[in-house]
Amino acid sequence: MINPKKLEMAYKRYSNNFVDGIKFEDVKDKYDASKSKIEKLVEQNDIKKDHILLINLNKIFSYYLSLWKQDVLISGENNPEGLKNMQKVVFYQCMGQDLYTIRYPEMILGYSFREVVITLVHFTMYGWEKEENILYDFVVHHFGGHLIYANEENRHIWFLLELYLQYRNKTIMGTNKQLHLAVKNSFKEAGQRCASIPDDLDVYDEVLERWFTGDLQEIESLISTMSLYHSALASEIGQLGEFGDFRYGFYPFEILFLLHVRRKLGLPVPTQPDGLLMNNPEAKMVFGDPEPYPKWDPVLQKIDQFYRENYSEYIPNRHGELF
Amino acid sequence: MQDQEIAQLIFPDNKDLEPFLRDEGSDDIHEDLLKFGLKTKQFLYVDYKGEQDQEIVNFIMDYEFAHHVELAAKEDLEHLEAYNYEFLPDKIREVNKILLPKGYGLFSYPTSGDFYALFIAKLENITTLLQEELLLDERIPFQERCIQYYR
Repeated sequence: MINPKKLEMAYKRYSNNFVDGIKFEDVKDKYDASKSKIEKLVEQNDIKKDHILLINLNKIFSYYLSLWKQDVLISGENNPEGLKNMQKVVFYQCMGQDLYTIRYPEMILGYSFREVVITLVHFTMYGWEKEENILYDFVVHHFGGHLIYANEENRHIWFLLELYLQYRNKTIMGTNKQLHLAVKNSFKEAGQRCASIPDDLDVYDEVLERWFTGDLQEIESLISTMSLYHSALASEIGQLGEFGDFRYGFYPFEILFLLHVRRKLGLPVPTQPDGLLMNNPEAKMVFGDPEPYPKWDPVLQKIDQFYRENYSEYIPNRHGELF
Repeated sequence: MQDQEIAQLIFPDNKDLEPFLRDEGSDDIHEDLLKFGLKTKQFLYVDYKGEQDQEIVNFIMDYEFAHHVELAAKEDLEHLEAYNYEFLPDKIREVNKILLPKGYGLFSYPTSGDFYALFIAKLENITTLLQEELLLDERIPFQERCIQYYR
């Protein structure tokens, strides 16, 4: 059972955070400050200090996060440009981080495993297959190591990754069934940290068993269970639990990905899932098939070009033009 | 007054209280009720420095939902969310102003730790609630050994 008043109040808090709390103008100021720092570094071609380029990608990410919130959450427009650019930044954070594995093996990451999985499934939803595959290879190659620290506690992330693997007919550690348990056991045996990985996926266990059902009523009921689970956690926004964050608290990407996968496979999907969660402007964004690439951010482009010129081992160099 | 009576006033409709006191109860009723209230989330734990996020507003809404009552309108709750305070009792007073017309109050259960244990109860029992010395510790001022209602 959902407490509707609590959910509505939490949603209001979630939206207001980007009106009264984090202001777009402030984020833009920080972005501009980073921009001049990056331009200077690139001009001087300062290879010794170029990890600062990577660190500053966070400011670009925040800028597009704010832009997405302003366009979609606050103004209610169907404009995923900011979201697409946020995820493009995550992609380049991964690619850039890879360059520093030897120089700074313990360098703090600007992204999380959660953020990478969210990016991977969005690339899939956008139909950006080339970038999706590069990111997937990166995940698999570094899985469980420093660059993909997979001691992940959020159940929806394990759900998304497993659904992705099953949909694409791929595996991680040789499996795409009950992945979290396989990973947990394997980490345990190797003496790696795994205590945050859940032992069960709660509602998602059932969904993973039956996500491909041809029965419309069954999938409607599963989606409603997922929506209830997400809504209950989003009601506790600010408490830092699963879906308790202001970034994606009310953005039901795990349900949207399930709907996408089913649509692609020609399986029936409910026309209009109900409730506040599924009917907010973020949930109702429509992606093209394929979704056009976002306009290049000039700072991000500079960093990409810098790495391409200075590092032959830079992953994008192997793939020609991207985005 | 019997311990049982005060327990019934704080947790009026809780069927689990009696088995809890029977199975896990010690001879310290203050400690037992505190433990039970925190465990069942009928007490709200708030750090002595104040709330993090919107704990009190969420607590009120949880209470409303569990008891099928409306204690505060959304505008009142928004006012509480935005309410700035230096010491927590100031905020509790503000909450009580809002709950008063509905016949409810936010009470503070005595604790010897550096946190507040708050609970919502009907004002009709206020006289009984406030007079009982629950925390038996001579070093603490008398009033703080009892349930308190900030008005």
